[in-house]
Amino acid sequence: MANTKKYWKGLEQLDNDSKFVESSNDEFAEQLPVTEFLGNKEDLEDATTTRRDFLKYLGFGVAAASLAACETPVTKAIPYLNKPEEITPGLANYYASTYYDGNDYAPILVKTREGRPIHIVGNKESVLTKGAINARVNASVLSLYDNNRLKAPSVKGEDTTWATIDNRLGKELKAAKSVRILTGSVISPSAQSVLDTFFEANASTVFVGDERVAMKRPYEATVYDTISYSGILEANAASFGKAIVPTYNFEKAKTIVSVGADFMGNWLDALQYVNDYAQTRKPNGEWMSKTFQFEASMSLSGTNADVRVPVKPSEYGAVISSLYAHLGGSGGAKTAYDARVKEAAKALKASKGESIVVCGSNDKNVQVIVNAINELLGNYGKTIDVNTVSNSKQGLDSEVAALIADMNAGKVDALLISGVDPLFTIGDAFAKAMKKVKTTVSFATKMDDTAAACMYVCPSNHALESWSDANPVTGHYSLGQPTISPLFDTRQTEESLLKWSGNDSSYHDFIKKYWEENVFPQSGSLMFTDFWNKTLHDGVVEVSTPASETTAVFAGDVSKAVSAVKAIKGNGIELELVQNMGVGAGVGADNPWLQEMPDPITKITWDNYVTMNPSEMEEKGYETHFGQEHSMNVVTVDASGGGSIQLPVIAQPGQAKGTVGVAVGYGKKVGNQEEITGANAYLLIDRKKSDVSYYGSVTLKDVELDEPYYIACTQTQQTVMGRDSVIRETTLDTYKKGDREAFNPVWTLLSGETETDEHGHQHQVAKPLKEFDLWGDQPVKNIGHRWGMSIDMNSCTGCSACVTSCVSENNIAVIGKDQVRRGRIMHWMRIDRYYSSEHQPLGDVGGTHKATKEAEELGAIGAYTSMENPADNPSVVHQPMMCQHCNHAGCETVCPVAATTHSNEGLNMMAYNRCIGTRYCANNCAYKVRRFNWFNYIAYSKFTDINPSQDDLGRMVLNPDVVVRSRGVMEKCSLCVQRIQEGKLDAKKAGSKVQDGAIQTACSAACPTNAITFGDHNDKESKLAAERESDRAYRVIEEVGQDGNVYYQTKVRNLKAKA
Amino acid sequence: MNKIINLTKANTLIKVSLLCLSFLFFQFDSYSQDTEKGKKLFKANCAACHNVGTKVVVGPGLQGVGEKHDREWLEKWIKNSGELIASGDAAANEIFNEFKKSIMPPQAVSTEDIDNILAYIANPGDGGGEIIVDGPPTGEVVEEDNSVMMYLFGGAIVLLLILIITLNKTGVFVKEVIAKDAGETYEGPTTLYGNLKKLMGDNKGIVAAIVIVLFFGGLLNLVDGAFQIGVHQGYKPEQPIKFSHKIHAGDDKIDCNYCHSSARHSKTSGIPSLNVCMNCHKAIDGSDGKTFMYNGEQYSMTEEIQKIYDHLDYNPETQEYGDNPTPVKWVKIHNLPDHVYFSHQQHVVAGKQKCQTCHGPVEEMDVVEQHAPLTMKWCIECHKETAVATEGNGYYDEMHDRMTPEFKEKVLNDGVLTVDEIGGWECAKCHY
Repeated sequence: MANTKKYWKGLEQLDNDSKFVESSNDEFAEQLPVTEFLGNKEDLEDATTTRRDFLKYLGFGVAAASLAACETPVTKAIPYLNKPEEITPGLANYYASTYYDGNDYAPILVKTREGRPIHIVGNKESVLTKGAINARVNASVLSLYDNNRLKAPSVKGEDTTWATIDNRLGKELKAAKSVRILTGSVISPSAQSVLDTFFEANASTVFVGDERVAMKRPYEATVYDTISYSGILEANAASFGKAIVPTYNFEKAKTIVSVGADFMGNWLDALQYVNDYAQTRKPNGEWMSKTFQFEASMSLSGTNADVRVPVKPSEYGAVISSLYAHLGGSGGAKTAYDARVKEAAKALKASKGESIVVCGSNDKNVQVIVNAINELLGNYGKTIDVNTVSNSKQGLDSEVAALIADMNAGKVDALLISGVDPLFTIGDAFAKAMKKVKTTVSFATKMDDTAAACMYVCPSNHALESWSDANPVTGHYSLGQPTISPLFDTRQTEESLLKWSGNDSSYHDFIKKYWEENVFPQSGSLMFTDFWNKTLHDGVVEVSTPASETTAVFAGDVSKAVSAVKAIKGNGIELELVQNMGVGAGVGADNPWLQEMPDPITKITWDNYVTMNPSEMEEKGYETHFGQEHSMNVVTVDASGGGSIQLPVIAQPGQAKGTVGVAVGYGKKVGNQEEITGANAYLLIDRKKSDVSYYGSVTLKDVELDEPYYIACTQTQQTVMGRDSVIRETTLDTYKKGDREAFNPVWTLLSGETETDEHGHQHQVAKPLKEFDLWGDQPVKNIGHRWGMSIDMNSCTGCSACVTSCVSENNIAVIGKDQVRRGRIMHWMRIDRYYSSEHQPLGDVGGTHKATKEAEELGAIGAYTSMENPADNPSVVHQPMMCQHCNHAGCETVCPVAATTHSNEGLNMMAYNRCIGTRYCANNCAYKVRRFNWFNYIAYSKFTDINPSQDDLGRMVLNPDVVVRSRGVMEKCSLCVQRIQEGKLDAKKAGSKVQDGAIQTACSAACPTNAITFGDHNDKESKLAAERESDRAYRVIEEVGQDGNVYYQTKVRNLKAKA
Repeated sequence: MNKIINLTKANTLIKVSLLCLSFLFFQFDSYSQDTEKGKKLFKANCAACHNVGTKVVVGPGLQGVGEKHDREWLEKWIKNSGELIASGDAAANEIFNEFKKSIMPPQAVSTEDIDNILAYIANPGDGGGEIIVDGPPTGEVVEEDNSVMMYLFGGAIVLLLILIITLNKTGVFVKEVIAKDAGETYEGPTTLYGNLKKLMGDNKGIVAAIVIVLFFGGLLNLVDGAFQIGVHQGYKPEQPIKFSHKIHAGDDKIDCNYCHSSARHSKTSGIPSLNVCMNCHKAIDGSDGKTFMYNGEQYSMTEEIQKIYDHLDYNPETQEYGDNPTPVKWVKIHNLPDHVYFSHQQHVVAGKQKCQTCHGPVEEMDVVEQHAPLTMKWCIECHKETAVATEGNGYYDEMHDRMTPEFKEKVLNDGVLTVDEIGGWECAKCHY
C-alpha cells in the first residue's frame, strides 16, 4: 500500500485509550442497565412502577389493545372546496425563492406538499451560487414551524391587534423628531425603496423645537452586520475609493492564500465561492488549485487546504505583510512561519492574475495590504472584480458606533430594529443606549433579546411566508415568493413600513411595480408580464449592467498600513471568535436540526465550547478525551476588553498554540428552549474600540462545577475499527504519474496456494478479492437497475448540508444532547472527519522529522520544532458515510426475521414493520451506519422539548412520503428509495428509460460542490458508471468483501509526495 | 322460518309485477322516437347551460322556446348565434344583452337533431323514469327476523334452565323418596351444582374431550379473528352527502377520472373538490324534485344537492357564492396503514389497471364499500398473477435490453412477466 498514513478520528483513537478501544468494540456504547437495576434492591424499591403495577398495566394494555382493535376508527377525508389548479394532492410542487438572513444569500427551491413547505434545496439556475446551500439554509424550513415564533403584535409585552399598533405607533412616529432604523445589510432593492418611501412619507412631519417644519430629514437608516466586514469595506474605500465588497472568482484561481478567512464555510459570500472552488479541485483537469491556509482555529477551509499553518490571530497582519514583502512589496518583516509564507509567495508568483489572497481580519490596515498583494499579483479584473460588487455586507462599524452615541445623547426618539439582535450581539452597550430611546420597535419573527426590550413588537413573517427580492451582486437579481400563508397574525416588515408611510398597497404589488420600473428596463425583455412570470418561475435573473468605464486603480497607502499592522501585538492567550456551520452568526441556535448536526470539525452537537491545542491542555491537566462518561473541564473566559463567559474546553488538534477559539451565536437569553446550552461569545468582543475585532486576548480560569459537564460528541462513535483502508489519499504528483497501483491499488489477498518464483523462493499467490467471496455474483449485478453513489472526497468540504438535507427528507428524529452523548444519534448520514498524523513535508520535499537540504535552504527549521506532536497540525479528510448498500451485506444475513433484505435494484431494504429490534444487523455492519430507535422519539414526553415533531406545528415539516419510525426498530439510509420510486414511475409514464441525473437523493441534491453523484450502475452511459471506472474510485474496506454500491474517489492533495 | 320465506316470496312477486309495469310504461313512453333522441341530444349538448323548464342556468330556461321563436330563427341561433347577433336581429340582441353579452357557442347539430331537441323541449316527460319505486328492501325484513330469532333463542335457553332446575329438584325428590322407602336417608348431592359435579366426576373422559375440543376450537377462532383485525372488507359507512356512485358512474357513465382526476397524476386518487361537483350541479340542481335510492332508503335529490350548495355557501337563485363555505367531511373508506406507500398512478397509468380491479363494481354501488380486503396477502397475490404492462413502453424496453440470457430464461419461461418477477414483492417497493 502506498498510503501508510495513520488516520484517527479523535485523540482517544490516537492515544489508543483503553476505554475507547473497549467501547468501540461494542456497537452500542451502553448496555441496557438491566442487571445493575434488578440487582440493586434499593433501586428496585425506589422505582415508581412496582411489579403489581406493572402486571396491572400489562393486563390493561392487552385488554385495551384488543378492544381497540375491534373498533374501526373512522377516518375523515376532507377535500378542497375549490382546489387550486396547481395543487394535486400527493404531488410536490417546487417554488423558486430566495434565502437571505443577513449573512448567507442563496437562491432556493422550496418543495411544498399540499401547500406546506417541507424541504429546501439550492436553485441550480443561479450563476452565483450554482445551487450551493449550507445546512442553515436547508434547515430554515424547520424554523417556519417553530412554535416559539411570535404569534401576534404586542405592546409592552401585551398582545394586541395590528390596528392598535398602527394607530398608536403611527402617532408616535409622527411626533418623533428623529426616527432611526437599524437593519442588517439590505440586499433587497424593493426593501430599500420601502425604507426610502417610509422616510419620505414621514419627512414632512419633522419638528424643530416645537414647530412643525416641512423638511426632509437626512437618511436615517443604519446598517449593522452581525458579523462585521467593515475592515474590507473601509480598505476598499481607501484603495479604490469605494466602500464595497468585491466579487471573487475562485473558479479561475490556481493559488489561493487565505489568512484566517473561512471562504469555504462562513466568510463573506462563501456560498458563492464554494462551488467554484470545488471545480478547481479536479486532479484530472488541466490544473488543480493549491490552497494555503494560515489560521488559528481549525476552519472548514483549513481542513480542506493543501497546506495549513497554525498562526496566532495577532500574527495574521504580520503574515500578510511578510507575504507582501516576499512578493516584492516593502516593509514586511519575517515571521516564524517564513518558510511557509515563502512557499505561498512562490506559488502566487507562478500564477499571477490567477490567484486570490484573502484575509479574515476585520482590520482595515490588514485588508489594505491584502488589496496591495492582489494588486501586485494582477488579480483585479481577473479573479477579483471591484466593479461587480457584492451587496451582502454593507455595515460600517463607525456608523453603528455613531448610532449608539446618538442614542446615548438622547438624539433618537424612535428606533426601529429589523433583522438584527443588537442586544444579543452588542450587549450592554446597546441595551444602555436603548433605554434613552422613547419608542422602540422590533420586527423580530421570534422573541429575542432585543425584541424583549422593545416597546412595540411587530412580528414579521417568516421568509417562507413573505415576498422578497434581492440584488446580491451587481447585475444579479432574484425573487422570493411565499410558499405558505402566514401561520400566525404576523405582518411582513416592509408591509408595516408601507402602512406607516400611508401606502396601503401590498408588498407584492410594491415589488412588482419596483421591478417594472427599475429591473425590467435593464432586462431587454419585451413584455413585463412575461419577464416577471419567467423570473418568478426561475427565481433568478441576470441583467446587463453598463460596463464600468474606468478600471479601478489601486491607490491605498500601503506603507502606512504596514507600519500600523506592525504595531499589532498579541498578549497572553489569544482568542479567535468563529462561526460554526450549524449556528452561524446565531440564526441556527434555536433550530434543533442544526443543533443536532455534528460540527464538521469537532463533531460536537448541542454545545459551544473553547477549542484548545491538546498538548497545551495536557500541560494544564485538562481532559482531552471525549466519551460518554468523560466530564470536560469548564473554564471562565475573561476577555481583556471586558466580557466573561463560562464554557467547557475541548481539545482541537491543529489549534494554534497559545490560542483558543470560541463560536459565536450561542447563548441567547430569550427565545431559546432550555435544552440549548452555550454562552454568548459576542460578549467577548471589546466594544470600547470603535472597530469590531473578532480577535482578542483572554485569561482562562478553572471552574469547579458541582456536576460533571458532559459533551455530546459523535467523533468517536460509530468507529470502523481495525481497518486501514477506509481513506485513500494521495498527492497530485503521484496521481499525475498515472500508476494506479501507487495510489489506489486493486485489492488482492493471499490465497494460501504457493508458487515458486524464478529465484526459487516460495511465496503465496495473491488473487483478486472475488476469488475469496462466500457468495456468488449478485444475481442482478447487470440486470435492470443497480442504484449507487460515488462520492468525490476532493470536492467534499465537510460542510454537512447533506446531513440536514437527509434529516429533512427522511423525517429523522431529533433526540437531544443526552441521547447523542450515549451514541444514539439517528442521522442516516454522517460525515466522518479523520485526522492524519503524517507531517506535511515542507516545501513539498521529502522528510518529516529532519529538515532536508532544500528546506534548510529555505531556512525553515523553526517550522519543524512545533511539529513533533501529530495532534499539533494534522491534515484532515472528510468522508460522508452512509449505508453502502452492499451487494453482499452483512446485516442481511443475520436478521432473524428478514426485515432487511436486498432488492433486485441493488438496494439494501429495511422493512420497519418487520423489525423486532434484535440489533444484530447493526452489530454486523462493517460501516456502522445502522441506527436504532431507543425510544419513541416522536411521542415520548421526555423529548417533547427537543423533538420538533412532537407538536402539531412541527409535524407539518414531515415528509409525507416517508414513514416516521417508532421505538424498537432499526433504520438507515434507504438511498432515498421514495425518490427512486418516483423517478422510475415518471420514466414509466413517459415511456422512456430513467434519464441519468433525473433522480437525486436528498444528499446529492443538497451538496454545494456536487461531490455526491447518484445514479444507476447498470446504465452504461451514466456519470456514475464513468466515475466507478475512474482510477480514483475505491470502496471503503473493500477487502472484507461486502461489495457495496457506494464508491469513493481517492482524495488528491496538491502536494508533492515525500521522497 | 316460514314467515321469512313467505316474505321473500312476496318480495319477488312485487318485483316481478313492478317489472311488468315498467315494461308497460316503457311501451307507453316510446311513442315518439324524436323525444328520446332529443333527450339524449339535449343532455349531451345543451344541459350544461339550459334547463327544459323556466329556470335560468347559464343560458335561459327553454320551456316554450318553440312558441317564442320561429323554427328558422332558432336554427340560425343554434348554429351560430354570434352571426345572428352581428346581423342586428332584434330578438337575438335582446337575449345577448340580457345574458351579460355572452355568446352561446355554435352547436354542431343537424337540422334533424334540432327538430328532435325541440320536440323533447316541448315534451320533456317525467325525466325518463328516474323515480325508483321499489318494495321495502329485503335486508330490513331479515334484520327484524334476526331479532325475533334472538328472542326465541333467549326464551329457549330460559326454558331449558327452568327445565333443568325442575328436573334436578324432581330427581333429588325422587331419590329421597326412594331412599326413604328403603329406610335410608339420601346422602347424595341435593343441589344442581352438586349433581353436575358428580356427573362430571363420573364421566371424566368425556369432560376432558369436551374441554380439549373447546380449547382448540377457541384458539382456532382467536387466531382466525386475529387475522381479521384491521381488515375492513365490506366497510360501508354512510356519507354526509348521500352521493350515489351508481347514479354517477353507472347510470350517467361518468368516467372515474373525471372526478378522481389525480389518480392519473399522483399517489392518491383524490376526493373531488366541490368545484368539480359544481361543473354539473350548477345546472343539475335537483329542482325537479326527483328521489333516488341510497343504502336502501329513498332520498330527495333536491335536498342532497342543496347540501353541496350549503357547503359552498352558494345561492342557486342568484348564482352567487357567499363567503362562509364549510368543508365536507367525507368518511374515508379505504384506509391503508401509514407504513404502506400505495400509488394510484403507478397502478392506473404505468400498470394500466382498471379502477374496478381493486374497488369492485363501484358503478353498481350506491353506497361505496370496501371491495377488497386490502391485506398484504391480497396485494402480493395480485402481484404474483398480474402481467407487467410492458407493451410499447420505452422504460421496459430498456430494462429488457439489460437482462442477461439466464435471467430472461428464468422470468420469461412461462411467457408472462409478472409484477413479482421484476421486484414487485420486495419490501422497499411499498414500505419506506
